[in-house]
Amino acid sequence: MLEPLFFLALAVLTPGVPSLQPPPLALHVDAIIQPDGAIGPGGWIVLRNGRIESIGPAEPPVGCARLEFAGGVAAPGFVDVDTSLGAAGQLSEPARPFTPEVATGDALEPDHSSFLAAARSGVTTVGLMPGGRNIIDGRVAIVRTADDDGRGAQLCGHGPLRYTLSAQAFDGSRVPTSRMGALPQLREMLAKSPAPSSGTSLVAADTADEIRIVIDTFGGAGRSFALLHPTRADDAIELVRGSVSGRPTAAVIGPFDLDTGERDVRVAKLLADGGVAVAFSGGGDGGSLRLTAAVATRSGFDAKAARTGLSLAGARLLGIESEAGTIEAGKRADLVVLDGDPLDLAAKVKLVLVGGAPVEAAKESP
Amino acid sequence: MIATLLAAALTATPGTAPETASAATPALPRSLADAVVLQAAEVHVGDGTVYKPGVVIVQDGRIVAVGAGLPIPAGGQVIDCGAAFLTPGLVDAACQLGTNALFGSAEQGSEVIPQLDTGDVLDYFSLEFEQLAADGVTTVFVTGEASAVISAKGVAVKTAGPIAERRLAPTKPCVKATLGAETSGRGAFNRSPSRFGGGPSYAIRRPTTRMGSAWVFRKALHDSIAFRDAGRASSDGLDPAAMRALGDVLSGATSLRMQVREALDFDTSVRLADEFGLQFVFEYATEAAQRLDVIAARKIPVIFGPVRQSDSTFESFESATPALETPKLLAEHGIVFCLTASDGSGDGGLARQTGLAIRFGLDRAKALRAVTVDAAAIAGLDQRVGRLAPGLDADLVVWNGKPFDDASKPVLVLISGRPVVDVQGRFRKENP
Repeated sequence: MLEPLFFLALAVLTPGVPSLQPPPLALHVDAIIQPDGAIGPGGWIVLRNGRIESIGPAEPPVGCARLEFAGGVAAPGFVDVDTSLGAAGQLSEPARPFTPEVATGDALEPDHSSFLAAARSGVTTVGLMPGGRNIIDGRVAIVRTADDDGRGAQLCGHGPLRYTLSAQAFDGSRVPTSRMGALPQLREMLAKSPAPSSGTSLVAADTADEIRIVIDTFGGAGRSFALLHPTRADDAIELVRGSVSGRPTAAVIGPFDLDTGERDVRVAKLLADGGVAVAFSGGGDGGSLRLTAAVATRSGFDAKAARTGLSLAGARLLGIESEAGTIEAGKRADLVVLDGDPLDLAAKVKLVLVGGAPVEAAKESP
Repeated sequence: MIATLLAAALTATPGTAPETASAATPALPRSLADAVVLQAAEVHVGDGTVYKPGVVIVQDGRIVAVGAGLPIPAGGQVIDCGAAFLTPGLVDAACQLGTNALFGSAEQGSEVIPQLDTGDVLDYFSLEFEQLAADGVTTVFVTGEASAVISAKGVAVKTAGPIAERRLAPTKPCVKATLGAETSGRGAFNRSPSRFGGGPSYAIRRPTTRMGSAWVFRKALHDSIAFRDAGRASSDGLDPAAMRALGDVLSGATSLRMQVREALDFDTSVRLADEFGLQFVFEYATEAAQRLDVIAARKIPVIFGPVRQSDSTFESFESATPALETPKLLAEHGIVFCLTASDGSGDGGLARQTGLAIRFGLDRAKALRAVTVDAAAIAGLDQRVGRLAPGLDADLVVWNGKPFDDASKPVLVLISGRPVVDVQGRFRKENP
């Protein structure tokens, strides 16, 4: 680990390079995760100005700093939509039950140490998710876990709105106190406001009953929507698959660990089989994300879909799939190099790049 | 398949001559090759007609023919229920089960919420519906919650089957007003207890007295009239949508129920009806026996029940209380009524309530009628359910003995022709 970073630092600091831009970096790995989640052939990945310039077997251009990883597997940086990393205070504004104007980016503490830990574990983009105590809770902040210098986090946009129709969004001290009172208002708002051009509505729905009402309300309004943590989607799977009004495009699932019940884990496969893209969530920790995906595959979840569930599915939910989520020329250089398949929990993270900048490795104990 | 559900061997013998003279055999429509034919020792239509033995022919979820000695269509699947009794699925016109809220489902932001819909808080996945289906209750009208003076619209649903098909449209929407202790007695406490996070609440401004409840009712109707006639906003900040919904109650486009328990609440209801020219149905009507004459004279339909030990005495059901004999008295006074188990199910369910009514003097045929034909009519659902008649939904209960006897239970329940409870009384999640 130390060695490649040393060369990388050397390359960046080499005097005499006549450009203000740092020199391009070329990584050689033995395998590259494809956009569809398959483990494809390795080769050189050339990175320039924070972006992926080319991918292929050809020798990189002269002047590149080279890093070669024997046995290395390059994966797109992990994207975790549902985190509260670096949140300064709580992420629901209790003053009103409908707060579409609020953005969690305004509660972002970019220097929080949790971002460095997330980046080191392979997570390059996180969503700072509103807290779920309002019916409309505001926008999820899109945060890169390291800035261009590889240090603090960087707010890079305001993503989709988060909605909640479960009990936690209601209390007796403000109107509406109930789903019965909330739904007519929400339906009216959805009917009046234009659907967002990109991204999707993120809607918390835990029980089968909540999933039904969300499909009814958002699908009925012609909205593209994703379910946050639909724990009992197995009971409502026929509605998820066969809804006439409209069905969820995606679902955020996890975290799972080795103790998670088989029934909960199988929900991921049921949703995927029903045509719902599954994005895994690990609370911002790459290890937890990979464990979640690995546990899902143990219950029959497709391995390729599990790998896209670590990055592309989340990027789509945040509306940043043109920038992140896959290793493709032109995209931002958010990469994780491991010494194996990210679904193999024995595989170790060797290098993380956020926008082309290497994340400082943790000091190894002597 | 249904056939495998019923332990009885399949036989295709045509029914023997009916004990009750039946009308001429109805002309059967198109091919009945895929029909299901149920034969039973007694087929109770719900309106008092009984075929002994009888036949019910079901196709595409609906009843095609009912009678005795009907020709068995070639190719039809025959289910011989043997000595069993067949009735329509039971209908509870004032059910309070199946909503998802832990502490009540109604919106607490106002005492007047007729614009809101109980369907929005219905949990189709609730296990309570499975229990109701197993009890033989196939249709429920989930009535507005009693914590609001004028509550939300009720919702009618089947207790099982595909969710998309479960909601029924009553002939009219229906809202409920509550004049008794539920709204006033709870007052400031009409919210979740503080240990469950129920802090200061909008419910604090609820009426805390009976006269307060009546005042809220009157004021809301006066406000809605002023809004309708002069576009005037409510001085209580009543939602215009609520006032429009009350306008529909005043015009009769939406039907009204009055939840009353004590005799004096009957009197208040009648006064309010006269003031505003309202037609309504009494719900629960615990002390109806004390107001039989006025109910009969005004032809007010009654949804009666449930009778519980605590409603009468703490001793036993056998105590001679007016409440227990009320169904009999309602029938004797020619009052149109049905029975409800409210939030009761299983041993406290509708069949049990009906059995009690029979034990305390209600005629058996009248009792069946009170939980099928009349319940469906009072809830505005008689175009779809409540009777074994051609064109209606094939909601059927097969009982292993005389319906509503303590020793009898439903052994097979069909909703829209699909078996939802099997012969062991188990609810079936997957309906073939």
